[in-house]
Parts: sequence; structure tokens; C-alpha cells
Amino acid sequence: MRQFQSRVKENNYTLFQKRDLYLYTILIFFVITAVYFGFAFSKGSVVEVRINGTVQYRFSLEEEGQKSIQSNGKRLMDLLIDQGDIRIINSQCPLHLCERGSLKQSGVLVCVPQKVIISIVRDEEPVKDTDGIDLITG
Amino acid sequence: MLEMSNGSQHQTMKLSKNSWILILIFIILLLFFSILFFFRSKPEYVSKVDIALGTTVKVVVSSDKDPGLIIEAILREFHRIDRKFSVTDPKSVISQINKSENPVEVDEETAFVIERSIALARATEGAFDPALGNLITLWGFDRINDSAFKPTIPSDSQIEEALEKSGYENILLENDVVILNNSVKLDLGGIVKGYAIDRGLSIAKEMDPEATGYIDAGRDIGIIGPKFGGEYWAIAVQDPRGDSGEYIDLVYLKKGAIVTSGDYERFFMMDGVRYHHILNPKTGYPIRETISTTVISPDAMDADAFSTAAFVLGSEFSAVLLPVLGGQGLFVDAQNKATYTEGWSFFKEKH
Repeated sequence: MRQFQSRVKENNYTLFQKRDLYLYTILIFFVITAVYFGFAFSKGSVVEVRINGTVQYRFSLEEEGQKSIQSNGKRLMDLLIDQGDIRIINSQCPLHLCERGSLKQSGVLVCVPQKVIISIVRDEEPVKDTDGIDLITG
Repeated sequence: MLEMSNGSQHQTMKLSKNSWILILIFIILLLFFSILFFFRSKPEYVSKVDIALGTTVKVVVSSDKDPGLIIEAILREFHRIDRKFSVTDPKSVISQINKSENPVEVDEETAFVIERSIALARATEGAFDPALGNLITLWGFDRINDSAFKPTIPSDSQIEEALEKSGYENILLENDVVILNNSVKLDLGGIVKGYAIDRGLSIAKEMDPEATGYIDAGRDIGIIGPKFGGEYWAIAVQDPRGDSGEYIDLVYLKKGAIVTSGDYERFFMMDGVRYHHILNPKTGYPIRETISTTVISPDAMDADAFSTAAFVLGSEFSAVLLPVLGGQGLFVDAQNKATYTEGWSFFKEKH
């Protein structure tokens, strides 16, 4: 132990020296920037609403509340964005089948009679490398 | 070595050993993440959702060639088949045949689909019937997606009249010429979605024999190829009375097709009674004894027709008939009780 301490003293081993401060500041700056951008890109998934094959609306999942979806001045439905999930409500289609389920449950919401497709736009693989369920029939 | 200017005085600063180690670690990490960023493999699967044949079509493809191009080609084919075989589009081939009082010469593809539908009707003893157009129109299930659709229940006499103008025996096909006797009307809705899936699978394989993925048309599924090239796709069977996503069984497929017919797909409620689109070709009313049938078959077209036929025939008969025709099935009756063909269990395991 005494030998080690003397070696430390000889080689001037210290974790923080005043002259290293600039270097550590730069490194910390890089790390904080990287973490910030990492979070910024992972957050804020965008919801895209396509009507008749054309993108008509884009919302952030963080914009909670009710959004009205219209086409040619006609109200088609409302979207309810709540806690990062979306449901169709007040749809003007005859059977309201599109009001069943949420975007989180099905990955995509579709109203066939009104030709509306609602999906989340994100840079993510559509097929996950897991043992879970890949798709549903029925 | 790091040179730093401190006012007028030039001072040479020596970094400590720890700092050099830290710099080294930082450079290695930077290199590692740069390599990850620039050389990361492209996403394995590309997907697109569209609307065709009155339902949602999702195509998921992985290919060393251009998966986006394959998906577009498949979706174009779905739209083409939709236009050609639609019963509501007056320009469609089916509308032309239904309107004509004379024999109609049809193209090779139309002749093939009609011929196959007659063969499947014979094989299922009319439980699947492509000539129920009058009955389906009477109930309005061909217009159920129209915004202006108003559900009504036809009278017994109207149903009787439509039944008299129904039945696949009235379709004659010879040398690509179709004759509809007894004023029957074609409605290939029970087979054309399966046909479109089969065509989509062929297109994917023509464009890239190594392509993998699947086509999901309104939850009727055709497999392009195994997941990630070698694994099984885990496919859940929807619980007919559960919420969307709740399932009653799980099967594993690397190829072939799986199709489900359910009384919850196209229906309307009136006075608390559910009226759905799978009609009994003998009575003209929606089937009440079955609520869901799922069929696995090598071809989606056959699976599509078989699932309708099994729905009409009921679990007892279907459990015997289906394996003879080359399918395996799961049937859920009105009491929500599930029964299976003997070979169904094969698909419940990864082999």
C-alpha cells in the first residue's frame, strides 16, 4: 500500500487536474448534446391521416385533444388523441366499424367507407424480431 | 500534448494519463456509433396500407431488390382486381355479365375465376355459392360501405323471390363464354379477395423469388415467405366476441394462407339482432349457428371459399369435409365453443 501510494505520488496520479478541466467540459457538452438529440428524435411520433390516398393531416401524438377530420368541407370524423393513443369518434360512416379499437391496438385505423387511413409515421421496423404475435386473422 | 494560450504567456500543458484514456474511450465510442450509423442495415421489412376490395390491405415485404416497388405492384394489382370484379362498379366485367341477357365472351382471367368458383361451389355442395348476387343486393351487403347505406330487413316474399334467382347451377361457362340462366347474378365477393392475395403473392415471387413477408387483406392473410427468411409468422385468431386484438388461438405459418369469415365483419344491428353478410344459400337469411370460421390452405382463393362454406355448413360437417378439400379449420359456434379439424394442431407448433 505504501509502495502504491508512493508510485501515485511519483507519477502524479490524480483523477481531476485543473488543466484537464477544458477537456472534461468539452466531453460533457458532447454527451449532453447526444442525449438531448436522442430524446428529441425518439419522442413526438407523428400521426398521418390519408384520405383517398393523399396525406391530408399530420398531428403530433403529444397534441392531446379532439381533432376534426374533414374532406371537401364535409366532416368525416373526429380523432381523439389521449395519452399517446388515438381513437376515431363521431364517424359519419354507416356502421361505425372504424370506431372499434385504437391506434395502439391495431397499428393503423381505417375507415373503409370514407377511405381514411390513420397511421403513425416513425422510423421503425414493421416486423419485430420477437416471439410475440405478428398478425391477426379474423 | 495540448498547447494553450494564456494571455501573453505560452504554456505547454501535459494531459494526465487518465485524460488520455478518456480520450481513447471517447474516440472508440465515436467510431463505434459512426459505424453503426453509416453501416446499419436497412429496415428488414417495408410496409404499406391501402384500401381496396372494400377492406384494408396491408402489404409487408422484405427483399434485396426494391421492396417498395414490389408493394406498389401488389397494391396496383389489388386495385385492378377490385375494378374488374366489383359488383357495384357498372364498368366492371361482373356488372357487364350481370346486366347482359345474352351470352358474354370473357377474357381468360375472368373465365378462370368463374370456373374456379363453380368448382368450389360444387366441392362444397353449394355452401359457397358465387351466384347469390340477387340475395346479397336485396340485403344491401354489397353497398354496406356506402355512406348512404340504410339497413333494412327484406320480407319473406322478397327473399323467396331472390332465392329463386340464385344458385351456381345457373352459371354456364363454355369456351370463355358465360351464360347466366334464370336471371341469377354473380357476386364473387367470397372468392375475389383470396384471388387478389394469390395474385399478390405471385407478383412478389416473380419480382423477387427470395422476397418474404405477407399480404393482409382485411385480416385474410397470404404468406409471401418466412419471417426474416426462416422463421414462422405467429398468427392469432381473433376472438369473435372479444375486443379487436383479443384472440382464441395462435398458429404458426411459413407459407400458405389463412382466412377467417366472421359474423362481425360486415353486419348491421336492428332491434338488437345482428344481420351479417354470410347468407344461407338455402334459406336466404344470415347463418345463426356459426359466428366465426378460420381456414388454413395452400391458396388464399380456396381458403376464402372454404371459410364461407364452413360457416354455412357448421363445425360438425366442416371438420370432416375441409381436410378432404385440402384445408384445416377452426370453427366457433353460436355458443362461442371452438372446434377444430384434426390437422389444425399441426399449425399450433413450430416444426
